[in-house]
Amino acid sequence: MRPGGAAPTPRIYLALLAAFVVLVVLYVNGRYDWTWVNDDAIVLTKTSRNVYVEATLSPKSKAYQFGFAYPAVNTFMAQITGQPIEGLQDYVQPFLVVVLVPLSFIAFRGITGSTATGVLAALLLFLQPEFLFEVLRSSHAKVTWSMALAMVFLLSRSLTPGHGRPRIAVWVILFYLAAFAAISSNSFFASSYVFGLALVFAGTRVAASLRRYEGDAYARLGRLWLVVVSCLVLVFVFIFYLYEPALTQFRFLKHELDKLAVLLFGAESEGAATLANPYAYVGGTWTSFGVYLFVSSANWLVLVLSFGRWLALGWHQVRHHQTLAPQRALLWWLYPAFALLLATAVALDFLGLLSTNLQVRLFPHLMVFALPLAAEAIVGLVGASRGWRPNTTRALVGVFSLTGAVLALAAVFKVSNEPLLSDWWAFYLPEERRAVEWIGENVHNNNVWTGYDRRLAILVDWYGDWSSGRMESVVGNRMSAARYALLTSLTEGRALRRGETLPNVDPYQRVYDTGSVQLYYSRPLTPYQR
Amino acid sequence: MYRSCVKISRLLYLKLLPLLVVLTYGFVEVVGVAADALVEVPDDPILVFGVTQQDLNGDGGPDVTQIDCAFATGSDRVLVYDQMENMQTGSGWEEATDFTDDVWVFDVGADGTAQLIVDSEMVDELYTAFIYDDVDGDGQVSYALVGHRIVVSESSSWTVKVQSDRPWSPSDELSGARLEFWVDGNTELGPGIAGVLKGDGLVDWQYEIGDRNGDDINDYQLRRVVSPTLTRYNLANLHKSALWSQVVAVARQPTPYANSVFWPLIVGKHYYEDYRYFDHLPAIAVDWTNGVVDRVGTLGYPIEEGYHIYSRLPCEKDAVNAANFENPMAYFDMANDRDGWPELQVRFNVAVSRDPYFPGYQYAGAIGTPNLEVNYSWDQDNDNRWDYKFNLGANYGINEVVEFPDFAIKSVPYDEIVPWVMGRTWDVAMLVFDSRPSPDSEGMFGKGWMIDRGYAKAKVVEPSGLSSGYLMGLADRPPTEYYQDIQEGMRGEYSFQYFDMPKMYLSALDRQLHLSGAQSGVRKLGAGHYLRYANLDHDAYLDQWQEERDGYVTKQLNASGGIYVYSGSGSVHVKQSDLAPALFETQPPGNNDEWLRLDAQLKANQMDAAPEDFAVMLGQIAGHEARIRGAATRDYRITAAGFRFVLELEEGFTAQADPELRMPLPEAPGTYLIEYDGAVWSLQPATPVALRVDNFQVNAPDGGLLALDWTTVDAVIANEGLEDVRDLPVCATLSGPDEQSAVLTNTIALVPGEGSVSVAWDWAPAVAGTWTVRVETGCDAGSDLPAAVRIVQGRQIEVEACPEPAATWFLSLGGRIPDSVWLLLAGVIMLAGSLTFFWTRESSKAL
Repeated sequence: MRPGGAAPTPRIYLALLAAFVVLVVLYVNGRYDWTWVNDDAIVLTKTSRNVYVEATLSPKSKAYQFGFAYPAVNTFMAQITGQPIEGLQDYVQPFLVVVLVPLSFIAFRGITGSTATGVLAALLLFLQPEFLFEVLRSSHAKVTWSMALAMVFLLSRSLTPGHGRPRIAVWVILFYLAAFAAISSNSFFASSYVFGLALVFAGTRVAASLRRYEGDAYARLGRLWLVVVSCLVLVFVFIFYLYEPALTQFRFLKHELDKLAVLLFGAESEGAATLANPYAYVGGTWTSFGVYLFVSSANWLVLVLSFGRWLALGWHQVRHHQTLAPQRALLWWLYPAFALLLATAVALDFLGLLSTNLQVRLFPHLMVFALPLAAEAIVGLVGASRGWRPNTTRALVGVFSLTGAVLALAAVFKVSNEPLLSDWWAFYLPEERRAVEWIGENVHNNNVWTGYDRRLAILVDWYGDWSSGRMESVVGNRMSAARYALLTSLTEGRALRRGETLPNVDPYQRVYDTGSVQLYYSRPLTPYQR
Repeated sequence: MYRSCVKISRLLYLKLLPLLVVLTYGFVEVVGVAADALVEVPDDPILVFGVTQQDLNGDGGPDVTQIDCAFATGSDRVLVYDQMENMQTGSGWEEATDFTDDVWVFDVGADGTAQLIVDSEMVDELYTAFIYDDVDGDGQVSYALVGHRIVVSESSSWTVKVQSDRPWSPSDELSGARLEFWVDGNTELGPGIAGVLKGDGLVDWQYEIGDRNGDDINDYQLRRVVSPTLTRYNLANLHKSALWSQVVAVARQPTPYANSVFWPLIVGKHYYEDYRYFDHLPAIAVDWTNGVVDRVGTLGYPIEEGYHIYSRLPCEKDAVNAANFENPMAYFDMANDRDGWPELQVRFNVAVSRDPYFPGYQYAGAIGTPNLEVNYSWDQDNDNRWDYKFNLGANYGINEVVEFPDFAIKSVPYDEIVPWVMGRTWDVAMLVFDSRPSPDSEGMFGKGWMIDRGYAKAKVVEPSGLSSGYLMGLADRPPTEYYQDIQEGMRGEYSFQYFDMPKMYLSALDRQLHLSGAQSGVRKLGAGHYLRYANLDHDAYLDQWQEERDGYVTKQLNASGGIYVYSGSGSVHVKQSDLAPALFETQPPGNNDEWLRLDAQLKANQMDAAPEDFAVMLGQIAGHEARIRGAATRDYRITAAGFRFVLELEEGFTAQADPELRMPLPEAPGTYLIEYDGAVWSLQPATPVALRVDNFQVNAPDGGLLALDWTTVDAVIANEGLEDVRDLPVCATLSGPDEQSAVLTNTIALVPGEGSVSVAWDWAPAVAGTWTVRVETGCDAGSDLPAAVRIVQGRQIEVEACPEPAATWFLSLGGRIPDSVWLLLAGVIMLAGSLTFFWTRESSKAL
């Protein structure tokens, strides 16, 4: 394919893609009658409310430890609309994901130099379930990814030949503004991004020295060290001087290797994250491995295509001394850089070198750079079909269309953790919410077992107000810490499917019952079990 | 311009990047340096060999005074630099120097290096000194003399700053001065985390010493964490606040340290438990060998009359602060002898509601119930060693408030501590006696039991789970297994359901102080040699004494209903008496009168016999008796109206009994069961244990047994013999399809002769199918149990599968989700397909 070649009109595609994203938002929330909840959204709702109430970016009550940008955006919207933060989080923020549609397109077009590839990569981005899951939530991810994509675009523009210094200066200034915005949204996400660029710099230097190659692309990529150092300074200043809550991550971690891992990999310690062990994810979440393969099919497709494309480009560079445009060379290097970071993080975690289980969030990073490569591969295939017979071309169009539809279905199933296929549920029944509120009002100074997973515990965090009554929810196998057990039809349904035995409540007193929700009180066996 | 940018970039690249890496890696924790040998604080003042002065700027006046002396080695030197042009000419250091604006450089070994620098000046009309010590670990404080000014280059910040509202000299006026210390680092943590904190220019700890009652004698010190890092994240499990307070009827004037190094606050590092806090003026103790400040503030430990609080919770000014852990640790001069040693020590170990450090890792911070342990140790014979201790536990919170000038602590006021403890009922109580008492600055702390500290297999078990599990409601039974052993020479008794005020009694039998209402007790006499105590009838008094050697009972004495039964050394001795079990009952002493009275009562009722000599104990009782030689008893137990035991008679036994006792005696050797119903004795040949499993069933609900559904496995264990069986292990073994299995265990404390006991286990079958259920007695009991108690009974049961919710239920979430949502899903799929279709079609044409 010819870079920058004739392309379909992007506006129509972008409009359709925006409509697609809106439908996804409507479906994912409508699937649970707008009772879709998750920890990150709740934490950000609370911290945004704190920012709003205390009128400071670093509220004393509790600040979002990774950055202030998203709470600041929420506060801004609440101030100008007069709407409560909770309402904005529930009904406005999910739709703002649409902003990412044009941003992803210009970023991918910028780094590939092709409109057609940019359109396709943007479409694939919104079929990528991990990315979609992050940005659909009412969390910082929308702001972070917006800025990350803006950085990709601005960096690629600044590397593109043919611009005068004043124009480049504008791109550079805008790049650092975007970088600072990304850091202020999630400093550790941004730091891992910077370390990815550092690896690109190191890789290009090594490659250049090995091949004694002084092409334009490598010369331009040589400037990346300035980007890396400048961004690291920004990260350092932000974490250690501008936003004290960001240090929380460090303080929780005991060892220097953990701290370095947080910076390098943008990982979150268990204390801050809420997911279960990510390596037990498949067994703990999906009803079968086949289901997992299906709902993740977009990932596999993109990984296979991108790796093939990356190899092909590498082969052409090595064997045929083909030179890539600087921005495409950047893409070619970013892909292995993030793959290496991801592999290192997983290896460190598996080897037990880290004192805490880190929630590695690097997969979407890798995918963002895999997507344009995969899109290039598809564009190449489609371009090659021009000489085929019409029927073959039509068949190709049909297969591609069907694949797009299936990938969309798989993505929304994965994003929404479709209960037909998944055991990791992130929704609640209105009766469960009422029970949680009732317990908060009527039970005091005790603990309540709320299930093997954190589904109801999240609900308690959000609606319970249990702390004023010195109440707490306990989950998992810590049943002995609780005198109460909250059982619901969803808890029972999930346990039945997973083959789990619920607490034996036969000797308990049933103190609350709405049909689908029961609260049981364990009869004391000693004077201290009151 | 461009070149400048490149230069700056290179600078950043070469300098800042490594710095960033270092900072990223920055919080290096280095732990563990061998503690220096500590010396006792010497009484002799330091030696001064000579004082010389020098004019550095040629103005005719002295600028530096050199003091050759011996404060750390045989030849040391102190250089005092004038900073305000006011140094006086003189031959004595007192007239030549001052502590208001001079800089003092302390040079250990007079080798030209500095080990400590004190920069004194007036700040806001307060006498202020900034102390610099070694930060980089080379044992000296780097500095330079610029003109006649001292510039410290060791660190940009001081290690200690101290302020006083009174002059440093004369030192005796400091006894009522308000003193404040600020410390960068932590002088009590060693160079590990302290090394990280030190030298960063941030104050980590603040000490303040003041006078609470206005008698011009300091009587409290508050030490608290002020570092934001340490306040929010207790990296080393530090005590975030510590309060020392002196409470005496007549305040004692603290004395200056005799060996202070010129400045009254500077002393050498020494052993701080040789004297009591508030005995001396506050100080800055310096480790001269390493050139570092070792301690600051009020030194000494503990006190004769007073208390301190160590809390892991922060202490805020102008607030009422909750305090956990040791709150308070109080000391009382119960002998009124002012000898520096307390005779009563009361340690409160407090866990506040949802205490972040209690009850253990898994549940820390998760339990709303507060918890309190009180250790009440006293020295009965005034030899400065702790003889007795009450451990008391309950889920009490502390709501009393102790006020200080600008803060308050939730703590029991000192004067109310004894009545507070004695006037309350306690859930758990223990009495520990030490026949080989030891000195300990924190009461009977290092030896014996505590509420959450037991002892088993010659090792301390902590936490034992008594307060951290049982009292928190997390366990259904107390951890009695950790209170069956104790250190040699000690005796411990406990009640895990006490519900009474602390009380003890002097036993009429063994003439020892025992816990009233004790459930059980143990005394360790030597290796494998124990006395075990029991309270079989659950009244206020112990009624069973057993001597145990290497796990076997060698002697036993029982008392019930006025009948005493002793068995040991091949004979059985039965005696009837209406002797009261206690000679007197009392609460632990809390003041001088009670302490003296108890002492007199103990001395008046002493018995000169070994504690295991039950024969002597029984011999002091008068009454009708029976003596059987060539005999032994076993399986003594209390019955509804009296007691029973098994009597074993050897060939050639002899027996005689007072007729008034009316006890039947066997005429032939053999094994007999003797019962006493409170009035009448009975005698019959004993029959051995014969077990049977009755009514063995797995309870199925109406719809049959379902997988994952709870049910019970029930059985009745019957004993057809006359003899009892004790501590009988019983197991239910369940084997199902897919190699599923479960073993449910239970231990029956007693299956009485000609009686039965029901057992039940909760069980939820993991899978559906045919299960084999087997009940077995005597399982896992090794070879101790005879074959007669090993019986097995089994059966097969069918378990049905539990129906899962249907797919339609998941799709509609129980009928809650409207069908329209599937239109949205269809829209998503169609739009994705259409987008791909159009893109592929258009691209295949355009490319």
